[in-house]
Amino acid sequence: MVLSQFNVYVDNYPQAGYTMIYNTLSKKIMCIRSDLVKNPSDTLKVKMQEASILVPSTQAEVNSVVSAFENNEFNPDELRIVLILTRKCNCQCVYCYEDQQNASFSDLVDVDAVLRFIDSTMSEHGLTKLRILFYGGEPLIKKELITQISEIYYGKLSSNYRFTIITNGTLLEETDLSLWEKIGLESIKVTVDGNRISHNKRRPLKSGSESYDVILNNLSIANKYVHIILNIVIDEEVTGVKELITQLSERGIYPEYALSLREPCIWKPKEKASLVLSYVKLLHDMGAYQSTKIAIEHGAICMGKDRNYFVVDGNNRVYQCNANFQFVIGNTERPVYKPYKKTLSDVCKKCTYLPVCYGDCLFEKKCEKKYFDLVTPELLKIYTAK
Amino acid sequence: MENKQMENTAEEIVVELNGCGPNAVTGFAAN
Repeated sequence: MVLSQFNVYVDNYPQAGYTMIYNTLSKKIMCIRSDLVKNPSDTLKVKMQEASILVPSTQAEVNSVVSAFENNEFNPDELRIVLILTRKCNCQCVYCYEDQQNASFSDLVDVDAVLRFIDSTMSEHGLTKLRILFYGGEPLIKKELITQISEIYYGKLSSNYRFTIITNGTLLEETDLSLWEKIGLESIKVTVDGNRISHNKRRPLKSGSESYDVILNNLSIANKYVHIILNIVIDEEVTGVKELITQLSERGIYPEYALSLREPCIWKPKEKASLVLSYVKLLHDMGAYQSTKIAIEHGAICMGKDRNYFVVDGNNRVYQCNANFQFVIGNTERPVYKPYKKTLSDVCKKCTYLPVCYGDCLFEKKCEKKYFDLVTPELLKIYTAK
Repeated sequence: MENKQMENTAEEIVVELNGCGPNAVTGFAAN
């Protein structure tokens, strides 16, 4: 038995003479006496094996991760679709990503073509589950399509169909939520950037009006029907996050919090780690539940690398992922495959963070190891603090 | 004193990841 390649070590934690070990594959954590890390007792050995901190061979564990990655084992049976219903939006956020993406979409009109694409892809690949992420622009501008499509697939697939909406939260209505709850709505993701002043400055309505109170009122309603993921876009300018969390809890809203770094990401590893950690700590200190892609911008197994994950726009174009809209891989009427595959380099295969990053972005060559090395031990300290 | 000594010689100190989802430390979160 040997120590796993995927272990992250934090020395002298939680106290002198002990080492905290976190495994990036199993996501298990142990704190053991430092002198026993390389020479564990039999009892400890068993526990370390159970946590995959101790493994039969590092080559075998790397091979199993690479094989799982290459064979799409992390998502074998679910078709995942990001469906861009419209490019239009009623907000004018200061950092609007869509302007940066240099993409042009029309409103989705040919719903039948999308349905045919979904049906044929599921059938050809033997997929039994479907998850749609309704996206925009602001997808609620075309909310009738959410109802239409979800009624069809909930009718066909029942609980094997689920959907999520990424929305600015200004157009949520109770009548829709109460219906959607019954036909597969799993969660909504809404961004609120700090307190009223901060948010209104960053995410005003196109009309110039403020959006903060509208969104919080809508979230009070949504809270009765659906799991809320409250996203906060962090940078040096967002303020009043503490106040936001307090105001939400006063309304009885305890969402899952997600942090996103403002794009384009301009920070060096050290600055980025410091920024992320400051907000993780703040959320943790306030007892806010977090589940967020803080360790990587694109997610571990990003949609670009998942062969069952596609982005479809209003022009029925199909994309590899939403990171790069220049890479159209087909349209809904023609067979679509995922042409771009990530080849994991030898450096990646030797990395502690392979099960987190899988070679990062398909389209942008970069390595986040420096950032991971800085941020991971500190995250572990925050999340294990009593 | 006795407790402290025991703690300092224990093979393992049990810690838990709390306040975070299973993927919060180094994982994937859906969009």
